[in-house]
Amino acid sequence: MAANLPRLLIIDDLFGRALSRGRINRDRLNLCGQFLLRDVSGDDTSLCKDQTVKRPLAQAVFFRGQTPTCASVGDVISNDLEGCMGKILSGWKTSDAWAMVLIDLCFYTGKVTAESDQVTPGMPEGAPGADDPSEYFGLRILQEIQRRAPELPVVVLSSKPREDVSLAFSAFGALGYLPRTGENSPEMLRELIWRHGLLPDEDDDIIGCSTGLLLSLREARRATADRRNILIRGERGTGKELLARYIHRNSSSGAAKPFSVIDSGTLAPALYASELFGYRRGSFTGADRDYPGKIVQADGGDLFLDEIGNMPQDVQIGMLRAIEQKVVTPIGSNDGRVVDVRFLSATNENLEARAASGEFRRDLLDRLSDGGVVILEPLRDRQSDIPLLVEYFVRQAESLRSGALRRAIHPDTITALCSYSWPGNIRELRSILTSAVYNNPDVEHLVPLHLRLPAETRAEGYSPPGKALVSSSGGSPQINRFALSQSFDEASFEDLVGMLPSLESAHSLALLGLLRRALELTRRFSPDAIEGLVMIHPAIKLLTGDRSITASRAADVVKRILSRPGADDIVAASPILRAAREKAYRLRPLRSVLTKARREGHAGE
Amino acid sequence: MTHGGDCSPCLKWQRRRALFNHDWLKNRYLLALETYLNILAGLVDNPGLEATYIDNILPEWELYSPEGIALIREFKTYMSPAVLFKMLPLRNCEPRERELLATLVDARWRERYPIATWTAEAQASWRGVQEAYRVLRCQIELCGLPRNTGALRPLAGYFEDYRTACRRIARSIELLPGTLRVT
Repeated sequence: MAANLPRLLIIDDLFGRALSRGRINRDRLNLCGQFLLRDVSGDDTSLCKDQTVKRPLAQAVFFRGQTPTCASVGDVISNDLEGCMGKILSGWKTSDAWAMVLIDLCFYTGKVTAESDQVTPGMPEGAPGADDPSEYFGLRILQEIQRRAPELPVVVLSSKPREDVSLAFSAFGALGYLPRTGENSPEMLRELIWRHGLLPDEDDDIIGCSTGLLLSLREARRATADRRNILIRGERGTGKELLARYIHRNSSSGAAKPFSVIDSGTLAPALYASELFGYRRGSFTGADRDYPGKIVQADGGDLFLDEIGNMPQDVQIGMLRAIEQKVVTPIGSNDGRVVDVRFLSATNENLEARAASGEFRRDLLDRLSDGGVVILEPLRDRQSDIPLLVEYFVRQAESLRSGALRRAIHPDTITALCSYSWPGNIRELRSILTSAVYNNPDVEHLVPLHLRLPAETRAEGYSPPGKALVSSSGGSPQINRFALSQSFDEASFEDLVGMLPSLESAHSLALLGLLRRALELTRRFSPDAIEGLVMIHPAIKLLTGDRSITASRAADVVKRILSRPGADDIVAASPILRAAREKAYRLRPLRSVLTKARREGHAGE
Repeated sequence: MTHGGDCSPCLKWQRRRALFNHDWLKNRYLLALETYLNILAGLVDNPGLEATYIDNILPEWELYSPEGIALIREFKTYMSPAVLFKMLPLRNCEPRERELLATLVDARWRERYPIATWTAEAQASWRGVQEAYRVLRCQIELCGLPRNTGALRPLAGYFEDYRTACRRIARSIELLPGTLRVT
């Protein structure tokens, strides 16, 4: 099915051109024939019934990158950078996204003459200097992609000499070079798509096609190039074990090799060593038989260590030996066994911080991640995957619950689910949907009422937090001042005793809550900061709606909120608010603010 | 340093090379050959190409091969920096000085760059295509009629040899410098 094939965008003047009067672009047909592509551009050539690729390795959308797309004798061809970017961005971070973009280097411009049209229909004669590598339009497109969509995987497809442009295309972010006349062209393309393309899990074990997930899967595939150890980071419930299985399945060593699991989260510390390294009969009370241990069981394959941060310190030393010397010695034995095991570890913790405090061995952490770190985004950052996951889990629950009716998923349900922050991530989503189906087996619709979302979203039906005070009628959301002003209409004399400090405290609480949430939503994730880097400038831009606010002004706003009465205790208990305070003061030291305030005559603020 | 300015003999040679190597050989002839090989391998169905390839597209080599060898032979004439003495301002030199300096510059160019090796390799690759083409045509003739995919499938190895030869000449012509190298 074409829908399951990776979707490529190919920007090339020769192969992307359309031809008038029903003429077929045979050059494009041949390119598809060579690389085993299914043309889905939707123009006359792609509708040509002349050619069928039996087992296409990708579907391709061709784009000329020039105007006019369909040129005749007398037309003047010019390069169209904005058109290229429009086409590229139309398939970026969408549900039907490009798996990869292939870009030609040299685009011929100028007038289409009778002679040039006769040689190659619709192609111009070419402007002087068109063959000068420094002038290649393809490099200009690459530069623009690097600026506007740097994560988009791009590979150069050209018949020009690679050595003339290898530095330039690398510097502009292209991930590789596919020669049009190279050997084993389809295999080379297949390999490039595999290594660099954004591809969903073809086995559908990991559901979703959000850019973040596809980037994680790509990192995982890249990490399978050899047998070095891989560390998977992600919040609880993000599917770290599924990703480990994905790595195992897609490794060159093959899925037929063993895959063992140790869940450190559920394993008692006292049993850790024996479970991992095995034991000899009689080596301790209860050891009534020889047990090889999980490492030996995984020999030749992979061992998945979940919640690696829970590994006791004495076991960490044994692990180091197992990794470095590839030898495992069971408890009660002096004979080590040579093993070939790749360790796939997972954690939700900041292991660097624990290593710094001596709770986790730094050298072990380095060895567990020497083959790379793959980060799984939390579900709240993968909202576009929620509909797919809902569909999957609802159907799964229906099939497991005897007699459950097949139900349509109401759009409001998706809205409600997207409004929740999912601290338990996909595991929590599955649990809520399974309950919704099990508790309501006899209905044909899944509606918000069926969802038992935790209190965060239950205050106002399934509205997001704070929604009760927000009115969005007639434009951008506004605080419902009328509702607020009416809140005390019925208050008695006694109700108002000491109300002002209480209200001010509530105001502080609300401001701190808003700031905390804004900081959470604007965190920047990176391999070095799995919990995310706190970014106060974007958070304050979000809260104020003022995109022009400066970083120092944003720091002032943060400091003002964090210095409100009663805020100290709340800030002390919240790592994200603490980090924001630290950043704000680093960005705008107190002295400079005070100096400015004194100069302006309102130092008391 | 390179000089890729507006010296027309140089530009003409570059343009001819682009037409032969980039436009025709790589982007048309080799692509069609690759697709035809995939047809023989059963990976692609293309009745139009099947019907026309042997009689119309494959023989294009006969049409273009003289241009291929001419490009190789004329490389030294058009891309030597000696060509600058046929153009302004060096054309204004005294004839004797001009001839002497042009000879010197040309000798220095051949000494500094492996010109003889490059052209010898290109000529060898051209002869390789000629030979692979001859062998392939002979095999096709031996197959008799009709020349359909089924009959020609056993010749896939000859087509692959021919493709290898075509790739080699494309690469060796590509490696000939496209700019006037003065120093």
